[in-house]
Amino acid sequence: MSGRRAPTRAPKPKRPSRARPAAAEAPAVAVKQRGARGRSPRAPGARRANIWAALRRVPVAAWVCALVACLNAVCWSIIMPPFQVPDEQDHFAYVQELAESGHIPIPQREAVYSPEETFALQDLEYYNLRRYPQSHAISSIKQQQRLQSDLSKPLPRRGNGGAGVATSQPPLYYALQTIPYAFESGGTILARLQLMRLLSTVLAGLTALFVFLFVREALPGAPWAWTVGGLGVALAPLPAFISGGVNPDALLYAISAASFYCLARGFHRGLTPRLGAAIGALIILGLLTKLNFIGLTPGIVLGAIVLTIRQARVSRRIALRSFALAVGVPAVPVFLYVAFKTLSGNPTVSLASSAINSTLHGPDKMRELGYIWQLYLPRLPGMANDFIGLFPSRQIWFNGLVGLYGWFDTSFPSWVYGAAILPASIIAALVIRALVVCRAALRRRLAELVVYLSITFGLMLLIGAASYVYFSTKNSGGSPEARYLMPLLALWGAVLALAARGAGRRWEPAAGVLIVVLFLAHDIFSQLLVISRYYG
Amino acid sequence: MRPPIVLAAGLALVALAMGATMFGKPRRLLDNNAISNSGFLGYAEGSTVGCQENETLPRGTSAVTLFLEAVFGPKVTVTAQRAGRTIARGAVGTGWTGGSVTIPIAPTPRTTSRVKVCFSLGPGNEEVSELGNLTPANLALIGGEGKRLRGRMRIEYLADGEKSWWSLALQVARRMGLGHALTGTWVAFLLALLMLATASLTSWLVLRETR
Repeated sequence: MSGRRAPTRAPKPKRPSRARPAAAEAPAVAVKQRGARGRSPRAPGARRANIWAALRRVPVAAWVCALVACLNAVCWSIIMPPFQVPDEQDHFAYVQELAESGHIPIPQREAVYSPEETFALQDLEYYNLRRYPQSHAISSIKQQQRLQSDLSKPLPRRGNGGAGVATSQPPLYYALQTIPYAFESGGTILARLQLMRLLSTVLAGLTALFVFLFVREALPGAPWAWTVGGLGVALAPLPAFISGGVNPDALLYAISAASFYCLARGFHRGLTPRLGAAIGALIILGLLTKLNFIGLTPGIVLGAIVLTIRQARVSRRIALRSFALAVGVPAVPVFLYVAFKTLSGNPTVSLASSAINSTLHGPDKMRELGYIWQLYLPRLPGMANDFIGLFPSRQIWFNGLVGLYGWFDTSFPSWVYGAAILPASIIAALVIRALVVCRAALRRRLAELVVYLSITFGLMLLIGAASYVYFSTKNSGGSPEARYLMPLLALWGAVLALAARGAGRRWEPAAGVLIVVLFLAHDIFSQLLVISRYYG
Repeated sequence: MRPPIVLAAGLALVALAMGATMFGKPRRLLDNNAISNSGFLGYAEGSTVGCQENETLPRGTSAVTLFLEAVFGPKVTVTAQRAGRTIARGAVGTGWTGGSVTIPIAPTPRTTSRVKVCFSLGPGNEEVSELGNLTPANLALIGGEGKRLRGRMRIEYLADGEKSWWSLALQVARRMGLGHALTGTWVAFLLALLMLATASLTSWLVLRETR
């Protein structure tokens, strides 16, 4: 990889150098150093100092990427009318139920929101606005006065205990959101919602930070490309749109990016007990955030296994201890949680289990596999056509990434999606070129690549299986959305970084700048599109 | 090429494109068929057609909005016929999503009444919902196989815009300050400031890292 001077500030004396040994050869040395350091200071003061030292080692560029992502998501949080981010009304109801009653929502045939939320939805014309792009947000002083008058009343804050589609989700994100909810408990529902949205925007910043750090570990020889990857994700409109609302995806993206970072760090510097504990903690946090994390878990566990095997060549004891922390520790509470929920008949695991069950034990496995195949790839001869007239790769995934906002009702004119193929193709060509040029390094890092691909595959399989459950009951194309792939943002950052590198040493800086400007433009025009749709 | 020049050129291009986009004129609602969107009429599945009689196509109509709902909608072709003669036609490709679909047509030169608006869907395997309101059977939408549905579908007729986004900017800014926790026209300026800060930070970082 390139040995070009690192523009992200030269390391100061006495700080660990940012120059690292090559990924495949490094672990043994690195682990011994880290193992020794990890055991030393136990005093709280020393630990705090260690944390500060670790934070100070994070490059300024990473913090700026995080700030850009945060600001970008704040813009989206201001632009999007309340409850127009997908399922936001259900996520809010979940937080409200948790904050007001101290209990997680219970399954109901139909969620009845609290009178406070019901009035807000009515006065905001939520039902006229949602899915009807020709409708606009409230636009008269009279409507605003009615809204303010209703919201100033002391309306009850409890519904029937249900939270619609959010009911089946684990509680971590919602528990976090009870903090801003409680902070603004004396204010109107809209003030609470905005504060909750701001918490999500902080998570968007964390996501960009971890993506930057992941790219730094994955492509250690390309410092400028780290910034391209970090900014590319920070400015991407789809994750900013989701993180500008109340949606557990915001935390899922951050945890997924952190998981990728920990794995890359393990591959680059070796597995330590501390890293193992971090991976284990992330698995627990991910599973407590959103069920979709189940799709990522097998790949992360595979990564921990590969890292353990590599580490065992140096120290079997450290390897086993690290593995126990990475996989064994999260396995116990997860097992207990699943057992408890299954025995108590709660649907928290039922959605995922029905998707997994239908894949493993469904009456027509081949049909389902065919469906999942077609969801991402061109149909093969002999497969039933589950997407007649549609090419999902293009219409669901590509167009979804280019721009489909609100309740999937806000899209660019169709020519934009056609035009977007050109820059996407150029980026793809640059990535392919970078991979060809770095093929020797790729071969050395095959195990690492397989782990990342298995995480991707696991998530795609889960999305496909869950979508098939919908498809088989409704006989429609299913309900997959491009945002479901956003837990792979870290890989997306690496792809952008590779694209910059693919331009060659001479053109790499210019290509990187162009990629960043492209994403900035994409973000600005997406915001203008949404503004024109709701307020035009 | 030097990165600062690329950045400056890129940002200038984005600003120009934004300015040009703001000269665009959004479509405006000319009229509708006075049917509210308050009910589900039926499903259309596969390749199917539907027709609604006694519509009035206003002069200057350049797009028709049909209240059809789909997750990934099939191709939709719309025709407007008067006494068996097609007076307008348009189509939109697959993949539309939402509770309505807008189909551009060539602008109509005059207002025409007693028009039969027909649409054909497909090919596709998704159930598409037809939305409107319940009416007497003789007024209802005629679905596939010539069967009358439970009511009439809402249809809206749109014309090319007269005002550019530039001239609507203040109105848009005012509307952005309604229905949120933060109220007032200043919200639009706050947003512009935040976006400017985002772009400035991005530019600063790019220049710093490529130095």
